[in-house]
Amino acid sequence: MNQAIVEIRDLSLGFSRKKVIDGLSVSFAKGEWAVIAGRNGVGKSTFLRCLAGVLLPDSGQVICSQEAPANKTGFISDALSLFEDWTVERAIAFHCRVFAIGEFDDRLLKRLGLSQKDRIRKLSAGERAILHLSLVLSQKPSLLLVDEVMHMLDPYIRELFIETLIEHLAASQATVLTVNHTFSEIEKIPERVLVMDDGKFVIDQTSEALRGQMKKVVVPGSLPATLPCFFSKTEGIYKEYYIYPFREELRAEHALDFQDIALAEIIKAFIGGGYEQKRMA
Amino acid sequence: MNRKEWLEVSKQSLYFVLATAGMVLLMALLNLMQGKPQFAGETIIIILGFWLLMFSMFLGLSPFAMDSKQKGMEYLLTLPISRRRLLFIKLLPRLAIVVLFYLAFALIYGFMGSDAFGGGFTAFSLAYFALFLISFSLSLVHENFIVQSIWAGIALCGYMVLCLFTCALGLAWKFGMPSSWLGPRPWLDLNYDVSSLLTAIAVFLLMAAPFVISFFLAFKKFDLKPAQAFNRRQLMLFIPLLLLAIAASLGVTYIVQKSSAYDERHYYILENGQLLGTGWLGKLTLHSENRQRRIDTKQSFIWNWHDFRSPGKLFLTAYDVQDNSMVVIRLNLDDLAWDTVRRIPHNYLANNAFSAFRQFGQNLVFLQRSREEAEKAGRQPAVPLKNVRLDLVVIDMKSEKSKILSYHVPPFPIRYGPVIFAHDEIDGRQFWLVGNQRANIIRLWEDGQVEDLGFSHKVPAYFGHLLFSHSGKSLVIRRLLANGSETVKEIDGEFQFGGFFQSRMDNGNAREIYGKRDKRIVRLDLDTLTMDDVGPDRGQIFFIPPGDFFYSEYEAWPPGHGKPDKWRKIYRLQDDKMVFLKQLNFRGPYFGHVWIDKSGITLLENGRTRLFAFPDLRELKFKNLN
Repeated sequence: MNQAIVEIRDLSLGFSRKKVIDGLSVSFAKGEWAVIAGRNGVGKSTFLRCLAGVLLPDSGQVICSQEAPANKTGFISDALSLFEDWTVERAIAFHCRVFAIGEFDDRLLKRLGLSQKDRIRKLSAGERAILHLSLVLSQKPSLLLVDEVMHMLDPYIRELFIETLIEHLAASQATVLTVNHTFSEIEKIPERVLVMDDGKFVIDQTSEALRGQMKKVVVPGSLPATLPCFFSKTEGIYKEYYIYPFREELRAEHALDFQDIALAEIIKAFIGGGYEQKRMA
Repeated sequence: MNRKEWLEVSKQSLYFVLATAGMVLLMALLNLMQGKPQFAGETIIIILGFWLLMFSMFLGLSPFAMDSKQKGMEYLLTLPISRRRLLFIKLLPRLAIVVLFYLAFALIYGFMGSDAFGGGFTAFSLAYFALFLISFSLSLVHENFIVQSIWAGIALCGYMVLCLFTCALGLAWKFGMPSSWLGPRPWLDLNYDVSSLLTAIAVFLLMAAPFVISFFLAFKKFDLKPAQAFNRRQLMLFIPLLLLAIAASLGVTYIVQKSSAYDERHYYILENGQLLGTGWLGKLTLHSENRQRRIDTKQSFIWNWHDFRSPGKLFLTAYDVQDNSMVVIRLNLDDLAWDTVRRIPHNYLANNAFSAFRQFGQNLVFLQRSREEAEKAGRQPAVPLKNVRLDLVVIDMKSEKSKILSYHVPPFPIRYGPVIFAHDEIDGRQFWLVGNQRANIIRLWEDGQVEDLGFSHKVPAYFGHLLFSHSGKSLVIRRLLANGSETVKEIDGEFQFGGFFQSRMDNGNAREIYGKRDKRIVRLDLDTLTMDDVGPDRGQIFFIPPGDFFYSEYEAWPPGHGKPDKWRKIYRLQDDKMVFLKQLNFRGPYFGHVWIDKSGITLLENGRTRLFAFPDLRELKFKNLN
């Protein structure tokens, strides 16, 4: 693994008496694209906000390497927070001044036909997301934190958004951490998947390893009890079983069709399993 | 980031200036519509002062309000700016504007020569800056700006109360006096007492510090968590800091405050060249040229002004804080032995303790309520609210014997209790006049008869056997008859004269009185009842019974707007003339207190006391006086 660009040690954070992140330790390497998934309210956005410095931990540390100082960390939050009374032009000028940016790349804005005179409060969510992305990328960030914004974007802007991120990643070796619920467009991109539950990462694996470790079995009845079934659901007369952790030996032991599944479905299974465990508890 | 804040604050300031100008113009317009082309400077000062206080609170509360309102708070916290720098960036432009506006206001205040805040410009200044600092430290207390403002108001009230309380407590601790008696006094004398000013500034800073420091420390960990989390952190820091600040304020008050300003010391020049000083609590000092003798009565006495002198002894009155009563004390000047001649429970007095006693000749007189009235639960020693029995008690200080005359008197207004203000006799029958402003004047005859002499809008007076009351439009001068009175003259307009608050009532033979009318000093001849102009009013008139008038001219007039005097000139007012007696130069840059009584002049200058005795006003020197 490459050198860590950010290391999180024993991070804890709560709101009032509720602990949202609980003793979490993890690190991210330079040039890595990691996706963080999980049920609603498990602390994904809170975790990103901690990395961005918007929330400060109750205990633990966020250690950024010298390559990712504060002005080289870009954060696009799901709130798309900017000063709403400002015009696009003023926001760009302010951002460039504060981050000491020499030249602002406005190609994305031009592609959407955004006027610099527009007030930010008048922009659509997609336009705001693109403006945010332009601002953040103009910092040439080494660490880019993108909260769940993609679901707000129309297909055209979503594609534009992802393409731009990929281009940036290719050009700059930046580390990208995204929080996502929708994976269809980025199915093949993330190298690492982290699934969060109750303030901790319950899964932290490369995408490849994860694909290899989760398989789906569709049968009309029930499965032998020896199979490690993580989550199941009923589809008509059939039942879908998600086997995790899967081992190749299982194919020889059971005459079943162990199907490869897409990352989006793997994540969905993990999230569904999480809800089921919570319900059982 | 700096530019953003400066722009924001400049915009807010511009709106404020425009709003203020609009208010002033509106007031001017209203004045014009009411046919008053002159626009009172004091009105402008009051409007400006009020708006400035509001604005300082607004500026203090606003640093994050706009960011929050524009939903830019999260973005703000992602900027590569440390929390400390962020706070300074927010604070500096606001502080600069607050200072700038304050200086502009001070200029306007000085230019207009206003007395709008009762001379309390320093107190206004402290409140102004305190409001800003406290508001700033509460700028994150709640997401809602209105709730923030309410909290700031509550905090400012608490802050003011704490400042007054600790200051009073510090003084009480130093001088052994009850702090309840001090109240807001330390803050009232800021303009002329340097130690009070220093104490006030120190206490103001010390008590504001917990707000500001706890905010700065808590802000190091400021983030997007709900306001309660920040408040909890700030409160945990604030409480110990506040306790420290209270302790430090007590210490500073104890060290910085000079005794002379607050130990309630008064001096009486005695005929034998001695000087009697009264001090807190129950302490007396008898000064002769080279000797000083101290008497500690070990009682909780707050001395009053009255004194009756007879060879070898002196009578003083005092309020006994301990058992809430008035006492008459006999002091033997040879061996300094003292004893209590009379003790009257406070609830028995018909008026408050310090205007209850009056003197005529060698007699002390006061109004006392019946036992039934006095001992009614919850009744304050003040006003008879209905037609009740009042006893007039006359004590002959020579024989120390007293007589009690009982009357049934009509009600007095709640705020203005019955005060005895005159004694005289007609056809060998003695009477006393009782009254107050906005009350009827009552004549109490020695044979028990009660006579209502009508209403007076202002405090009445009695000089040269003439009764002076005010009809609301004019001064009414009446000669009292054996039954009723006859009006001898009415003079339109205002006429202010002393006498009512004098404890001595031996002014029946006065031939002239001096007072103030339309910013002039005028003389009223009591034989012809003609009024003559004496000169411009630039000071204070002192009336010394039975008929002496003195005038203290101020260098700076009107007083109390921060411009200090360097001298006062003392004149005797006599036969329509102002006869110059002495100029009292002040060494310090602060106001001096001048007090004139029948023995001479007492000058309190920067905490030092100087005395000048009549008739030649030579300065009296006493060892260890200061």
